[in-house]
Amino acid sequence: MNGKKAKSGQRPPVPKSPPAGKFWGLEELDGVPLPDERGHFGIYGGRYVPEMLAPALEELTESYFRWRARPEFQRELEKLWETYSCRPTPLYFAENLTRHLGGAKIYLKQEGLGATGAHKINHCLGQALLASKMGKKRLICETGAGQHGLATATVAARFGLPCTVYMGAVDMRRQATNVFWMRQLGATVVSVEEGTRTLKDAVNAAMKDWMWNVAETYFLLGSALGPHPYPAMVRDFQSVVGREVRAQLEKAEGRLPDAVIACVGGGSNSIGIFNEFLAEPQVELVGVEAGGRSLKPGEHAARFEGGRLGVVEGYKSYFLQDDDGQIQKTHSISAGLDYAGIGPQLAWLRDQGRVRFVSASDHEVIAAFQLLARQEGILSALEASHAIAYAMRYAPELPADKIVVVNLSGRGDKDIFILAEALKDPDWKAYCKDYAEGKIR
Amino acid sequence: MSPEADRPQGRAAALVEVFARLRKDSRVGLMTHIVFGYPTVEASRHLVDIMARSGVDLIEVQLPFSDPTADGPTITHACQKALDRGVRVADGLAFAREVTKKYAVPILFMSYFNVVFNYHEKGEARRGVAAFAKAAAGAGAAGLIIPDLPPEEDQERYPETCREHGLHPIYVTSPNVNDRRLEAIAKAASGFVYATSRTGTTGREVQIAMEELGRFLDRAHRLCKLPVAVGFSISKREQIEALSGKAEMAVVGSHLIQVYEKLGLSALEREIRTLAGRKD
Repeated sequence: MNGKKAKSGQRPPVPKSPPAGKFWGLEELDGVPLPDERGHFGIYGGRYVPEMLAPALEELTESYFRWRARPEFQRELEKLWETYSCRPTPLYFAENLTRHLGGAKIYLKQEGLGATGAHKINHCLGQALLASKMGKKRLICETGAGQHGLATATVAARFGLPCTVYMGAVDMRRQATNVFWMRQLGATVVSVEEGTRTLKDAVNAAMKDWMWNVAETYFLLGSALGPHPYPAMVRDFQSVVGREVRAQLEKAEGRLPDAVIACVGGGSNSIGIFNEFLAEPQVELVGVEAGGRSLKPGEHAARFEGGRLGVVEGYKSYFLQDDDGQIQKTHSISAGLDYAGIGPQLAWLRDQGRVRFVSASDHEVIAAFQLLARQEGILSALEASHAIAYAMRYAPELPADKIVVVNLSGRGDKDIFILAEALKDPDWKAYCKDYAEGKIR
Repeated sequence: MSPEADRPQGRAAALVEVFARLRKDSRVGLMTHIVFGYPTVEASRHLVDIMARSGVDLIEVQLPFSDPTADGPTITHACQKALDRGVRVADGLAFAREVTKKYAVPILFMSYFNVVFNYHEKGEARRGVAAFAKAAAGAGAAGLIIPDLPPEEDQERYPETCREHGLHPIYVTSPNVNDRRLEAIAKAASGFVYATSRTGTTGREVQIAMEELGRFLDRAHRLCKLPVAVGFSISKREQIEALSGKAEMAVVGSHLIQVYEKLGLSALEREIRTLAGRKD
């Protein structure tokens, strides 16, 4: 159990299928509960919130664990996943990319093909269904890049619930297209003008809304972090990704992968794909953080490259912070990874040596995006391009009989403005200018 | 806790004295609040001076944190401005040392748990509750108010560590909290309990439902067996008087920042004297 890659030539055994009806995340690893009854993953996690939120979190915890155990809840959610979104998403053998890089076989889990273009829809459908079972009358959420906000606005429309999305003022400017779509879906988007005016401030604002409206409102948190039960619940709803990968790869190759690579912002897509393989020590798990422009403070969002233990926004984990414990500014070319904290289960798994963390720079990420587009015809989100960037480094180091699965957590359409700017595309710029001036009809 | 072994000393004892005096005078006390370093450290000095001279019973000094989840826009903005000016935790401790030497009124530090958890003395590697509690007590504080540390998280023996250093761990509770949680607070708390008048964040003018609040305060007294201070949406002398027989102390925070921002220091002094019930 140390996350080291299996010795070359030693083939992992053919996996058994997971137990039928097993719907949620791994509940224990090496005798440690994931999490314990108060939401701790070892020293991480917990529930550090003002007392007035405790009743709501207790109610949510009790309701969640009751509903998730019910087969009818599971069936209803599975049907939504299949018919409203797109489950199972394909596991695609990237033959061209594999040939180009010359090493391990690369498979891509295409989460970007689900509704709203990213894995976020998995836990949004799960949580909206739970909210409706709990009789909640309103959804609120935070969003960074707008992908979680978009997915929440989507499920709010589907479940007929009013929805308020909190979004940092800086992010609203960066992701104006998502703001437009959220409003089209009927959501109220509130610009958060406090702090750094990015994701962390949107989380704070949503928590504050919840304190005012705690009885009737459901806070649909967007990642595997925050106070208990969110880290466990979001992981559970995302664990479908890894379950599918196991079954799909078993069918394609008759065995487990040798390595699974995922980008890590808060941790929802990574814990979603890792969970299935946590108890399979021969499967190496790699999380790729946002290396940004450089690893200097304020220039990146790699919590394990300069972060420190802290207790912020309701949970204990690693945070990028200054000497006094003030949360630092972060940067990433991908707004979805631009966050100072990381999910508590991932911090624990790193301590156990079960998940290895690396980072990819903005520069590498753009190169990865371009390579995947040219080699496979797939436009990957900038978040997921971090995982591709590391696969580009790692796959060539491995022999050809190894298998690497990369979680493509989202598709790249949303990133057109950022990419066009980064690639200094003159035609796009001219188009935007002409369009704004009313020259294009 | 055993009352003999843990009998408070120094500033912690002075806080207990404050409540004894209030009981004797059958008066509702007043705790006023500042965000340290807002708008400047010099202004914080003036504010504490005014508060001490106006007969305030306790002063809450908030050490700014980048992500103050329990605070509304007024205090959140004040914290951000103070941090933007480069205010450090060590400056807040030095400030407390200065004012507690000068004035008899007990002060309490309010902040968020990450500030406490990450605190360390210059040149010392060890961070955490014990280091902060030692420094805060050394600066003359009577207690700590950390709204995002619930009793069940009990990090680094927080309540015991506070008491060992002569600080009261003050817990914040709210009307929607059940008896079981109030009992947990009762086990951990000392000094007094800080009750919010409603759910929500600080600093919005909301009509307080007095009957419901009264029932909650009864429950808090019965279960916690400590004096209760009421905060959130308190901005008028009449509200403080209405707490008579229901609570021992009223807390005014955001309102004072708003008065200071809009009307300046001398208006603030008049406001504090009015709130404190001073007729002279």
